[in-house]
Amino acid sequence: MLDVLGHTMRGADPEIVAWVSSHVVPFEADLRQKLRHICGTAHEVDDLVQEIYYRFLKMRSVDHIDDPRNYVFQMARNLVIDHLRRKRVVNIEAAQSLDELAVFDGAPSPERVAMARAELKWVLGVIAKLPERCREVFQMRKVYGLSQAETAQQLGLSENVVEKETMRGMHIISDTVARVSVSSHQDARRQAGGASVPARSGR
Amino acid sequence: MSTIDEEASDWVVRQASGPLDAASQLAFEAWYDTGSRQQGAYLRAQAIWRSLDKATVQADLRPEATRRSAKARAVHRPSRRALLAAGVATSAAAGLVAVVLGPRLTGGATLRTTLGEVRKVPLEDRTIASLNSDSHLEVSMTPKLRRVVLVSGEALFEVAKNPERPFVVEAGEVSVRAVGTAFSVRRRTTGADVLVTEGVVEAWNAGGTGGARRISAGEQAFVPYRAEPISVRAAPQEIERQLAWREGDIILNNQTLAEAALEFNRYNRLKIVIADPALGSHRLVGQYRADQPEQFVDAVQALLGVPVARVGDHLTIGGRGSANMPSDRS
Repeated sequence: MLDVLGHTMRGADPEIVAWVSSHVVPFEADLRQKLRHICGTAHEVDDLVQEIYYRFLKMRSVDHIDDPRNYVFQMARNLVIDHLRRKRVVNIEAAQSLDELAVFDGAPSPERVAMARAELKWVLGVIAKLPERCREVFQMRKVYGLSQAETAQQLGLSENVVEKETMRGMHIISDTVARVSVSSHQDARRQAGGASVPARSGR
Repeated sequence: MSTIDEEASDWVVRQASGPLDAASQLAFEAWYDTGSRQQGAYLRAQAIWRSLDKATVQADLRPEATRRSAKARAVHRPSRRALLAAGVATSAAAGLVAVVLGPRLTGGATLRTTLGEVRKVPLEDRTIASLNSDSHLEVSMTPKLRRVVLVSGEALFEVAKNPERPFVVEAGEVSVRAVGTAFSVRRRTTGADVLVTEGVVEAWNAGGTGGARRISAGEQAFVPYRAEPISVRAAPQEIERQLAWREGDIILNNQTLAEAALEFNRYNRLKIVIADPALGSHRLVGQYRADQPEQFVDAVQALLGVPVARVGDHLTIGGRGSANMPSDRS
């Protein structure tokens, strides 16, 4: 892709980014969990996950995808098969575990609105769990929509510190995305005794 | 996390704080061009960064000190973020209002919903009609014309394209015509609200001489039953808010408590009563389940610190003064 000046564009179409943020990121942890059964090493899992995102990066449109979660799992399955073919020695266990990716065994994809709500709670939870200064920075930047310079001014920090804290926070969040899916977050809450937390419970 | 993921996330953060200088830009491009793993990780980091925007609250609800050129940024942020700022934890676990997809309707048919029911019905021409609570439609399909009479209530139509066969909704003296578009019509006491979410419709009143008025996507119109001028205004966010019933929600964005009570009472047998009229003008922000008036009332109690009580079919907010029950019908 070329931009108006004829430079090669790097990065994805904003629409793809938005779609991936709503339809792939929330389930990444579920996907990784399955892949861990199949792949030998954590490195291989990272590799496959990056490959999946790369496929989305190269897509022109995502309009044809009806059930994103199943689509991603199907894609993962095909990639795993490719990987196994290239390997000389096939791990028998891995071949059996492949079936786990055939059909996503969870409930059907959550309804859109319920999903949006779950995502919102999830995002807030992720921000709330950051270390203190990091959390303040993310609150300014993401909850209140301030720029880096404005955040620095608000918190009385240098811009450089704000950037470092943002990077640190993103590493933590990126790790959370890999471990905790939106759905498991919901399940965990349900098991913990009810999804609703009254506003006045002092939390 | 892999090193590549961390590198990707650092690039996304740096780019978010402003344009890179020439040297950094070159370094970024070299890194990005290394291979598909870098590029995949980069999309992932961008998408995660973008996910966090879901937490953004509307500018006018932020603490004073953090407000900035509100409009520039707020435009594309849906109003549902608002619930956070109000400090109201909506307990959203409740199930959604049932959406029933029955067989497609052909020829003439009557569609009705009861109080609190929201229904989606596919018509014979592949148009989808969504009926709000307590609504009544008469559908007649002929080869030349698709005609729907909105006898009462509110409905949204996602109209299948067919230029040879116009789609007309009649609400009393008001008619709205579309070819392939999405719009809703709600009957009010003195006229009909028309909200257009896609394409263009034409609306007119039977007695009027002014002819049809065009209403485009993102616009809201009030079309009086009497031969009076039609008012049209652009209000994309307001349309989104007003159509939240399709998902079984009520969204408040600075509506008064009195207006909110009216909205809830459209859906439920359990009626909200505001006992203290002074409370009725409090403005509220939040997203609620239309079929959970108790949750809303609990939130109001927490937010305004007023007593609430449930007696029979009434949820009373405020002191035990003279009760006045809001009702859409009176």
